[in-house]
Amino acid sequence: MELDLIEYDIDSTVKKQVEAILQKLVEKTSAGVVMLTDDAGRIVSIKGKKQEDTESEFLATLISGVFGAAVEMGKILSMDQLEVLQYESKSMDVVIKFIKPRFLLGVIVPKSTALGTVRLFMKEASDSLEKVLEGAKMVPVRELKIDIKELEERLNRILGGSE
Amino acid sequence: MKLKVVYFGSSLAGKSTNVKKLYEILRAKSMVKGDMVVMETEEQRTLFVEMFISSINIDGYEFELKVLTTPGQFRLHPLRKVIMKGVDGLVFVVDSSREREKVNFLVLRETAAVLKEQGEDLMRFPVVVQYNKRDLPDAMDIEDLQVRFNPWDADYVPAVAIGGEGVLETFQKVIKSILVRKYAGHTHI
Repeated sequence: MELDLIEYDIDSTVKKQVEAILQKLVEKTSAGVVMLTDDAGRIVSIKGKKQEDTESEFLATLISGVFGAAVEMGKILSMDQLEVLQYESKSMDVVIKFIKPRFLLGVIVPKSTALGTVRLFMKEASDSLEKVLEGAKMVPVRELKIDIKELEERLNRILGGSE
Repeated sequence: MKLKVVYFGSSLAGKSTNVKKLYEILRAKSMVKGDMVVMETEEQRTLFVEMFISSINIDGYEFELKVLTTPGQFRLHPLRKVIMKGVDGLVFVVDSSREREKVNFLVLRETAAVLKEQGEDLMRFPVVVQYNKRDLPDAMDIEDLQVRFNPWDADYVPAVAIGGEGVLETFQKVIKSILVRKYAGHTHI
């Protein structure tokens, strides 16, 4: 049996619009990192000093994790839907904002940027992101045709799990 | 293609042992990206998550696998829900010991409920069942375990994760299961 493995991504027009919104947010807040992830912790787009690398992947997972944990706490406390999560350290602050329908906007800013300013610009960015993401379509970006038996053999050769 | 694999199972079933061993094995094969992130309590029990990223290349097509564990302790149930979000494939680590039979079953039931909340059906989900701790004197027979803990008739792997036995095989099978069950856009017979 042959498998047709297809990888999907947000279409390039929407992706460019998202990137432009994040870049603008970096410039307005002097953020070190601005990241849009889905609620499962997958990076949609990232701007700032960090690029999409392993550390950013972990960061994305933890951003979605801590926000998800706060949502669960909110349910126990019968809070309204959680919109923003914020935590502060001596050198920097992190603000995470929910973006409809299932995304999170994470911003890491230096202490020199006032949190009020950050939240104001995040609100502006989140309105734009929600509008842009509403029209987003998933398009196939890569395809791999492979026979199941062949896939098993390749995995076996690469990983050696059944040795 | 980015995939999320989560190891779930009862408390002390060997989820963390599996993931830590897997990380060691894959690191030796240069198939991991970066370090492993561990968030555990003072007693070395998982508090939130353990995770690492593995990268596998098939015909120039890169699969990036984020491997995570859920905390097994009952009090950490809300955090389990968070980790399971957006999962692509599951490894159900079953403690083979007879005395853990009931707990294994409760975790299976609870996981089905968590997935249902996310709009997924555990019965149709890519899963591999690992029967861990096969070296225990009171380990149940595989046939008995199959009846109780493998309602999917999914691939299963007998394992002694602490010694590395069955760890890589489990990982290999879950990748295949995800690709066959979930990510194959079209299949041609």
